[in-house]
Amino acid sequence: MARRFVPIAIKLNVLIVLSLTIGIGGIAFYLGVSLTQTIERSTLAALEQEADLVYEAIENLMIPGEAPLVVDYFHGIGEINPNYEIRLFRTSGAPAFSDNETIFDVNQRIRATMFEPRGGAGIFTEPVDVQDAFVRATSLPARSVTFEQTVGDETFVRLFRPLLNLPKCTVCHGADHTIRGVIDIRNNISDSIAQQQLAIASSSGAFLILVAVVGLIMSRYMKHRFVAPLREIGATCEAVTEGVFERKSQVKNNDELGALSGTVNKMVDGLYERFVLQRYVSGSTIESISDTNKGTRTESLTMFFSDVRGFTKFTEGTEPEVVVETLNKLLGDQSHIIADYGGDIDKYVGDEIVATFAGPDGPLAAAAAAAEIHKLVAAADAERYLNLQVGIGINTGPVIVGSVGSDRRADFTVIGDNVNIAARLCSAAARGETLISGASAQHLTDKVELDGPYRLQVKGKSDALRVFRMGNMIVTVDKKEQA
Amino acid sequence: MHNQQRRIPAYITVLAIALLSLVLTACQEETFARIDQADNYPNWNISHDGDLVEQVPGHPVFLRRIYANEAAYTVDPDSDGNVVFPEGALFMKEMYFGEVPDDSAGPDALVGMYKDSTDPRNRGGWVWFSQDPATGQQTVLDEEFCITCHANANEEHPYGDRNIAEAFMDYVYYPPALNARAGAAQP
Repeated sequence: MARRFVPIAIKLNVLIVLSLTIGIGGIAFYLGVSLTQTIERSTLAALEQEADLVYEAIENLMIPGEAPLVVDYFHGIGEINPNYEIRLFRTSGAPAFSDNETIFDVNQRIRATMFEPRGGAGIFTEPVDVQDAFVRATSLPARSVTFEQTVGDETFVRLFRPLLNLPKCTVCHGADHTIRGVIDIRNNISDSIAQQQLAIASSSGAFLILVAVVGLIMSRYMKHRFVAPLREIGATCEAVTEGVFERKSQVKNNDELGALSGTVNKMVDGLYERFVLQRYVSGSTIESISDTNKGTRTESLTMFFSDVRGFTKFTEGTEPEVVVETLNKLLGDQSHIIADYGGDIDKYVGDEIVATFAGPDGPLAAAAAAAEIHKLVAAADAERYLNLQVGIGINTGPVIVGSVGSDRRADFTVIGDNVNIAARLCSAAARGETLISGASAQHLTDKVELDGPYRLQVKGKSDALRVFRMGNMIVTVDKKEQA
Repeated sequence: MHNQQRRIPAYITVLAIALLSLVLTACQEETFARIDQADNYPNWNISHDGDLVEQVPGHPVFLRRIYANEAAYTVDPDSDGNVVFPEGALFMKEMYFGEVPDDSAGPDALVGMYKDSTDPRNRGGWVWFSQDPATGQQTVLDEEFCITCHANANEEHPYGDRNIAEAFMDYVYYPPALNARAGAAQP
């Protein structure tokens, strides 16, 4: 299944936003949580310290029987900070100093009226309102209990600190119990929570804006620095696929993309040179240049020779410019047809074309090319080729393929007896005629109309050649896809 | 189709192991080094004269016996009458729920205070702990409960010599030098 195309710009943007969110967001979240926990711990530690102070005050004021001072102390703290409320409970959960029970008990224990009963309403009137925490605070071993409480819209942190019945207290209060009561310190933290929520909201907003701004800046930078150069290089490559070699990548980055741009431009230049070179040299020559491992070798090929009949006489009575123009038209049109059927133009020798067709289908492709050339030339207006026609010779067999020439100049071409036979057949062919050797004809049975065999005595051969005169094509041959 | 194995990158493996180690370390409970010498307390000296039978807050009634190891038993007050116990001093307090101890059955409860100011759970330089008389299992009592009451030993109190001079007694109500040893020296 083909993978969906996702532009690099989108990937980069996603990467940037994710990095910022996970990186900065993670750290911010961790800091936020740590800060909140620190505030909570500080609040609880402050409560513990206050409980210690209150405890110390009670312990030192109760011994001389100065309970009213303790109460004043509680009220004084409450007036200084309205968010704080300090209360004292008996272990039963009843409010301390709410009646004279303790005074009577102490007086009875010491057998004297050490404390006078108080009149009026009790100082604290409300019993304990959180039973489970109170039970935990008054269970042995006694320990402080802190908890959060929400009442309406307000949030409190509360601490229950058990007030121990110390040995020095037992003189007045007896030794039959371990816990005398519970100090309740209540701290209203609603404002603190509201401030924390505001800080979190403003921090989150600032974070989102930061991510958006930094993401936008980085996105623009990435687009300018990386995506645009890639698109520029891609446009150059795309132009090449459309046959446009003049467009060059204009990336000037001093980095890998700049280097890639330079490489692509060099590659385009090379492709253009190869493209142009194809007009002047054969495909096998280009192949031999690009593949230095391909040296001289023997290869079975179908040789195709085409020559203009009566060309010498034609040149004698015609203007040189007209001769060249007419010859170029004739050679050009033939070359296109040869290329269409997969042939490779080896060389032009005056008015003659030397071409090769490779592979087992070479004879049939060469015959098809010859048939189309004759058809084209015969059907053309008299003005196009000025009534010139060509003769064609085709032969198949092993030939020597290699670089022929000197160290200063060489042609990568074909030579050998089978090349000469094709040339002789071409020379012997009349206007609009194609002569095919027996070696080629054996591949064309039932595919091409062949007239023959005839025996043809050619120069350089002691024995006559077995040749056929080519008629119409019986089968249709597909043209090769153009490179 | 390619038979390509998807391999977990090495850095992710390392990161995962590091995180796992961190979590395991964080979750691991701090272990309390057991005070083995506490098991030998019946062979130590008792830090007070006679059995303690008065009712006190914080401990089950009634009978109590407090044992001191060598380091705790041999400490003398300084010139100001203050008593400071050395590191390693150990007191073990037996508690019986009846007035007459059943020595064959052993105590009903057992608590100790071990002088180790390097232990992070110390309170006033002492590690306060309880010990199951049957299994020997020790449990550190690291809340303020024990020391809050024992801090009264540094003031005037109703027990032993009562510390009327309010000398520093290092949170011990019955320093051996002022109780058992003093009593033994008397005719």
